[in-house]
Amino acid sequence: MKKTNTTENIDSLPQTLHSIGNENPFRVPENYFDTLRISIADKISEKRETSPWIHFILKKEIFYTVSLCCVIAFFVIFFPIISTHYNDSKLSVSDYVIEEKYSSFDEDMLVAFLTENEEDKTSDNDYLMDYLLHNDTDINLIMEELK
Amino acid sequence: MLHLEDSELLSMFSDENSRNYAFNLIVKKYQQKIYWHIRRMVIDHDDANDVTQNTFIKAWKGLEAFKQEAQLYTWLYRIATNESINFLNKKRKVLLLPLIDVERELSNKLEADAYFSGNVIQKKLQKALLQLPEKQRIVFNLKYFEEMKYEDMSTILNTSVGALKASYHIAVKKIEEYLKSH
Repeated sequence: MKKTNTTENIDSLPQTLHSIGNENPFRVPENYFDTLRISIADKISEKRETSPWIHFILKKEIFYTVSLCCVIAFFVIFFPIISTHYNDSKLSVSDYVIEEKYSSFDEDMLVAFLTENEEDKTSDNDYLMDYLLHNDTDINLIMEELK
Repeated sequence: MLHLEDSELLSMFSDENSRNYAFNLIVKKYQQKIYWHIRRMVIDHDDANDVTQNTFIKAWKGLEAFKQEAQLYTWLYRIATNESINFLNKKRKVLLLPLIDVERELSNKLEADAYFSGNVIQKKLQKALLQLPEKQRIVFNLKYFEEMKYEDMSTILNTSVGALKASYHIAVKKIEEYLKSH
């Protein structure tokens, strides 16, 4: 690298800057520049060993696109399964209710209910006959009419 | 170690068999200049170490496409300058700090830096430099500490020689004022 004439550079400066001079005030750890070269060489060989496919995948645009596709694929694949499962569970609930209702049905209660209806029918007929007799109605005539 | 011209190093690099060796020679030839240029920008040694490594890794990646009519050292300086500016910008974003606070943070680092061997006035000069806008600081560093030609600076910073001269003189005035008032 070419440097300009130091006299031209420094002498043209104001007094304060001129008196400070342009010495480097910073330091580095001992043997730093020997290890720096090795560190750089190591990093470069690490990069070279990494498959180009990994570099391709790690590119931001590719990463976001693949992530978006995965999310969409997840919903496409799993949403129908989730909704079917939900319907199944709804059916199961109704089946359960029906099953529970009939499994707990008492047979004696049913007999009692039917018998009760028969008794009601008989009592209704008796009531009707009493009414007709009380009103002096010709039962035979009604029976013929009904035929 | 051989001291080869840049053109020889580049032709060695273009040969697959001698590529690693050529790059090793390039790093050896320029690592100190690049490191010090970066160190003056980022102040801290560890940060300068990271940025220097990144600079050479980028150089490795781009060297195949490098046009030999350009100068290798100005190209390396250009990468180093961009990497340093990017590093400082990232720092601002990560820490959510405005410009002035990053410079204050660098000033604090300078105070605590175990690898700073300058005297009081040299430290004051470094603090004065941290008050300058980034580009003025780069121009001042390249001219004052590295005594670089304006023409080379113009290639590195992609700025006209006239603008660089003006920038340097403004920087000198500001530093002079700072040194007088502090």
